[in-house]
Amino acid sequence: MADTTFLDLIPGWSKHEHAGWHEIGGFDLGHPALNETGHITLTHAAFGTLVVLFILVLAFIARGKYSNRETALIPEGKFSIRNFFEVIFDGIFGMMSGMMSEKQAKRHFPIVATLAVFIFVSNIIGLIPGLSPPTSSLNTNIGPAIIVFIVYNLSGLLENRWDYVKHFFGPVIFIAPLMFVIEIIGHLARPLSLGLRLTGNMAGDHMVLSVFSGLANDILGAPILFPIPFYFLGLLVCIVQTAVFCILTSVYISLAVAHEEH
Amino acid sequence: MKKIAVYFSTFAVVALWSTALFAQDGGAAANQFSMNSWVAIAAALAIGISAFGGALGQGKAAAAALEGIARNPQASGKLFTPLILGLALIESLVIYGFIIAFLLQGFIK
Repeated sequence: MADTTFLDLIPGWSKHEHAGWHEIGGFDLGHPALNETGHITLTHAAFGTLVVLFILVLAFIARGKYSNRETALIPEGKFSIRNFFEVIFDGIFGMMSGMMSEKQAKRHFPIVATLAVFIFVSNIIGLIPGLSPPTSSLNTNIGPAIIVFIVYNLSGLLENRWDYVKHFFGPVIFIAPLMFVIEIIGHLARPLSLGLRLTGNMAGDHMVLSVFSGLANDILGAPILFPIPFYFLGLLVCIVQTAVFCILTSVYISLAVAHEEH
Repeated sequence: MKKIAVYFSTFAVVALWSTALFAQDGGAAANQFSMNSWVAIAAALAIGISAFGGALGQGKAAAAALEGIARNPQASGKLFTPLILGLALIESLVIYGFIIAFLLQGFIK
């Protein structure tokens, strides 16, 4: 899944990135699922950092627009940085309010909205030729998945305390050992599925784009025209995968903090 | 009922008889090339069966959504979001199969 990006312009980068860092260190790190053939590649780390810096700059600009009292209340008509954040936050908060109570939605809104913005911007930059989406590597996606796992378990424990642990044991007490194992496996499958779904979608999408661009390069002489339908598909997949990640996170949190009504 | 018995017994005879055929050239050791062929077949089957099952599931979801829109064209806005969500969740299973196929393809030397 290693591809050519703008980082190859850095002297020495492409020799190490596409050949494998183990030539310097002398050892292979990682499992084939995380790093292809055991070579450590840094493209996803570099682009992840760039995305975070970009979002921080945008966030500071958007925050500055709220300092003026009169213009803060009026939404802007055209596409701007403040509108971009407001649309995402409005959608996420509306979706969360539908699933859990208002107080819980406000409490968990920062984590879900941050994930939404980060994953959306990370996915979108993959559509630009020469940039690679950091979310196409499992290394980037396992982080948010583990954070979501910790957040929903902590919220469930803080909110329901003993009731949360009791639901692990199932409805009846004497199938508790079996139910406990099944519940633990089901809960461990959740962050794994979140990470793998996003990784597979982004990596597959990027690969399709690169294959069709290469095909167009061979036939037409330049990578034009053939990948156009796949850019539409790629845009749809980017938005949908962000939404699916956030919806599933909200569902897990709402299931954990839900109070049992008898 | 008799036809089912005939088909089933024919299949059983063919399946069990063919193992005798494989036993004859099982003498060669499992070298890298025979491993390669098994890994290649496994990778192709992984993505093939996943795509087949995923397409069937997504077809049913899309058919239900389209019928809902045909009954009530004004509800198409409210039907769109659950449709896309359902399609994405079904597709995630296909993506798991694709990841396995891709990992298997990495083992072909």
